[in-house]
Amino acid sequence: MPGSMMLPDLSAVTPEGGVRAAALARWQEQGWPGHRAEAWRYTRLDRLDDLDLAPVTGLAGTASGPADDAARGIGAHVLRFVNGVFDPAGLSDLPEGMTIVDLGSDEAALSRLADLAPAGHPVSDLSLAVMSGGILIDITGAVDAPLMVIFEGDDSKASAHPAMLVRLAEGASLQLAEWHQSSVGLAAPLIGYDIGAGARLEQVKVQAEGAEVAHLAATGVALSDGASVAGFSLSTGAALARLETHVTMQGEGADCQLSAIYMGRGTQHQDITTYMDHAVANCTSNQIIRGVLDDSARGVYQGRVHVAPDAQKTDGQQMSRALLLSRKAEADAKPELEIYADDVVCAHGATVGELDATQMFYLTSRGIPETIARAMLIEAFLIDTIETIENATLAGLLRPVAEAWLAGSEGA
Amino acid sequence: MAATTETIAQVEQATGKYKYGFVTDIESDKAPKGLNEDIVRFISAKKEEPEWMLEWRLKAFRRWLTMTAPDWAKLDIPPIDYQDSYYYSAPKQAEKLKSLDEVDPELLATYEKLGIPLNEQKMLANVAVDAVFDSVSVATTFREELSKAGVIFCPISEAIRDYPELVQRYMGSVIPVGDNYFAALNSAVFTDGSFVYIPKGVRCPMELSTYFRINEQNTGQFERTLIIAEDESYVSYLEGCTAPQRDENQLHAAVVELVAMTDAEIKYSTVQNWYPGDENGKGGIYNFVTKRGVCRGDRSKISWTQVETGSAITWKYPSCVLRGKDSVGEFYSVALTNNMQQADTGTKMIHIGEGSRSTIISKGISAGKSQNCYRGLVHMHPTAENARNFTQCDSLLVGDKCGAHTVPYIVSRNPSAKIEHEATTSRISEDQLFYCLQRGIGEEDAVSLIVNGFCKEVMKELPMEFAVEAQKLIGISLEGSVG
Repeated sequence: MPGSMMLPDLSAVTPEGGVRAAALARWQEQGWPGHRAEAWRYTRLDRLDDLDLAPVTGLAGTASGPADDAARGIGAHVLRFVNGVFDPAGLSDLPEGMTIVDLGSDEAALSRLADLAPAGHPVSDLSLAVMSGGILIDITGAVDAPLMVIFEGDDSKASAHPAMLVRLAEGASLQLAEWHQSSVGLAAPLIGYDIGAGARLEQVKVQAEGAEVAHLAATGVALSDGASVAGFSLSTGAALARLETHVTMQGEGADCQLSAIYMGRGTQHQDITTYMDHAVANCTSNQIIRGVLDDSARGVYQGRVHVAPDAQKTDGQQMSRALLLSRKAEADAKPELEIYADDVVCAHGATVGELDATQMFYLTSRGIPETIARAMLIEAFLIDTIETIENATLAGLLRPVAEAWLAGSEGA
Repeated sequence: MAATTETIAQVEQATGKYKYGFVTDIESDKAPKGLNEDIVRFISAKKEEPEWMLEWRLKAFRRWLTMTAPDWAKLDIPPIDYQDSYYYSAPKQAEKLKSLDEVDPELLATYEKLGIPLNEQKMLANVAVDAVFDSVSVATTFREELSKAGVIFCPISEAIRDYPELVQRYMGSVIPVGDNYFAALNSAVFTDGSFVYIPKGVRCPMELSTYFRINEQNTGQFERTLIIAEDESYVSYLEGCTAPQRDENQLHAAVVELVAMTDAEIKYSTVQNWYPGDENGKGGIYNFVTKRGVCRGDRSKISWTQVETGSAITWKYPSCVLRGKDSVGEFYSVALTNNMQQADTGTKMIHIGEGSRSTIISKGISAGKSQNCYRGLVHMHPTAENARNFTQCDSLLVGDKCGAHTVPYIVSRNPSAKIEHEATTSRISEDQLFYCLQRGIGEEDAVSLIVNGFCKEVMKELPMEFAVEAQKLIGISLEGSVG
C-alpha cells in the first residue's frame, strides 16, 4: 500500500472484540487498495492524499440542505447521521412496524452486516471497525410512511463512518431514501439491506455531497426467497464518489432492479460499481446505468453479473450508457458477465458517445435554440431512466436533483 | 443414444487419447536446460546473429528478469519452472515414412474427419511425397512467384541476416521487448518464425502460410513473426492448421507484429489446434501469445481472424493500434473450449487516429468443464475524432459444468467517438436442437450444426480453404460434450 495515502487516525478506536476487532485487523492488514488492484483500476484514491482525517466520536454541529424539505414533501420519517454520528432524536415517533436499536451492541447483527458488506472494499472493514454511529433497523410489516435517512455534517476534518443494517422480515415492505449531503472530508457509509422472504424494499439514494467530499459508499444487499428490491442511485455530488453495491440472491424467485445515474462536471470523479451475485436459481436482475459527463469529469461504471453453477433459469440484464458533453471528459466502463450455469439469459450492453447529431438537428431545425435543444436531449436521456422507478413518491425525490444539476449546466 | 455413445468412443479413439504425449528425448545440438544469459548468447550464436541482435535479446532477457507473469486473466496457471526447459534445440529432420500405411491410424482418422486431401495428409504426417506432388517443388514455385512480385517471405532468422535494416527498424516497434512478461521472454529466446515484407503497391499474389515455408515447417515454441505492408499493399497470412498439432514443449510464447502503412491491408488468420490435454486436464499446451498490429498510415487496415480450439490454456489478445486517419481494425474470433481447457482471449482496439473504425465479433463456446473468457479493451484517445467501435460478444454454453465470461473494458476520452458494446450468454436453444433431431439429424451433428451457425459471422471471414476445415474442426472439438 502506498504510504502517502490518507490514513484515518484510528488511535481513539478500540473495538471491544468480535466482529469489529476482526474488521479492524483486516483493515490494518489491507488498507486502501494499491495501484495494482483490478477493482480500483479506474478509481485511484491518490487524490485523497492531502486529507488528514479522524473519525468523529460525539454528535457535534449540524448542517442543513435540501433533504429536510424533500422529506417533509413526502411525509417521511427522518433519521439523521451528523458527521457520521447517529442523532437519537430520530428514534421518537417511529412508524408502526419499525424498530431501531444500537447496532454496535448486537454482535449477531454486526456479523450479518460484515457478511453483506462488499468483500474487498476498504470501507467494508474500515467503517465496521470505526463505526462512528451504527443503527439496526427492523421492519416487521408493511410500513406506509417512507423513511428518509439523511447523512450530513460540516466537519471537513472528519471521516464519517455511519453504519446501518436494515432487516426486512418475511413479507415486510419499506420505502427508503438515503440522502447524502455532508461536507465532511471522507464519507464512508456502510449499509446493509437484508430482505426476508417475499419482502420488498424500494430504495433511492441521493448522493449530493459537498464539492470537496470523498464519498466512498459500501452497500450490501441480500434477498431471500421471492424478495424484491428496486434500488436507484443518483450521484451528482462529491469530488470523488464511488457507490459500490454488492447484491446476493440467496433465495429463489428473487428480483433485483438496481439502476443509477451519475452526473459529473468540473474535475469530479463518479464511480458506480455493482456486483450482482446470482447464487441460486430462478432469479432476475436488471440494471440500467446512465452517465452524463461535462468539463473534465470522469465517469466509471463497473458492473459484474455472477451466475453460480446451479443458478439455472437466471435472467441477468445490464445496460450502461454514457454521454460525453466535453472534449476533456472521460467515460470508462467495464460490464462483466461471469457465468457458470448454462440455462441462463444474460446480456449486457454499453455505449459511449455524444448527443445524437440527427436529434440535435431535428430540434434546432424547428427553431429551438441549440442550448435548449441540448438540455432537452440530456434530460430525455436521463429522465426516462428515472421513470422506470415504479414508486412515484421516491422518483419524485430524484427529479429535482437531476434538474438542478442540468440547470447548473445551462448556466455554465 | 447408442449411436451417440458409439461416436463418442470413436472420437475419443481418434482425437481424445493422445498416444504420443510429449517427447522427452531430444537429440544433440541443443542448449543445456535452463535460462540465463549464456543460453541467450548460445541461441544467438547458433543462429549466427549480428551483435545488435544479441544485444537486443540480452536487453529483453534482463528486462524479463525484473518482471512478473500477469495474473489478471481468469486462468488457473500452474507454476511454470522456467529453468526446467530447453530453450534451443536445432530443428531435426525426422525420418521420412514410406507410405501412409506407416502413419498412426488414429491420426489418419482425424485427418479424414477434417477432410484434409491425401497429399496434404502425407505432408502433415511426414510421409515422403511422390515426384508429381513434391512439396519442395511446390514451395519453390511459390517462392519464385513471390520474388517476382518483390515480396520477401522467409524465416525470421534469415531476415535478420539478409535484411538487417528492415528488421532493426520494425522488430519491437509494435511490441517493445518489455511489453509484457511473455513478450520479453520471447524477445530473449525466440528461435524461429516468419518475416514478410510487401513492397509498395504490391498485392501479394497468394495467401502466405508457414505451411509453404517448407524449410522450417515445425512451428516452434517461441515463434516471432513480423509482417510489414508498405503503402497500398495487401497481404493475407495464414497461421497454423486444423490438423491436431503435437509438440514436446508445453509452454508456447509467440510474438506477432504487424505494420500497415498508408492504404495497406493485412489480413491475419489463425487456426489453433494445439494439444489441449486429456479429459482430466493433464498435459496440453500453454499458449501465451502477444499479437499486435499497428495501422501507421492513413486508411490502413488490419484484420485478425482466429479460430482457437486447442491448447490447455490460451492467453491471447490480438490487438490493433489505429494510428492512421480513417484506419480500420477488425477482430473476428471463435474460441472453443472443451473438457478442462481454459481460454482468456480477446482483443484491444486502441483508437488514436481521426475517423478510425473497429469491429469486434467474438464467439465463445464452452463445453465440458472448461472456462472461456472474452477480455477486450476499446480505448478512444482524445485525438480519435469521430472514431467508431462496434463490439459483439456472444457466449454459448454446452453443458452445465462449464463457464463463460465476458470482460470488456471501455475507455472513451473523445466525445465524438462512438462506442457500442453488446454481449449475450445463453445455451444452445432447445427449439433449434429439437428441430434438427426431429428431422433425423443426430444429436452431435445437430450441435455441430447449431454451433457453426452461431460462429458463422466469424467463419465467413476465414479464407476459403481454411473455412471448410475449420467448420469440421468445430464439430470434432465439440464431440463428447453432449448426450
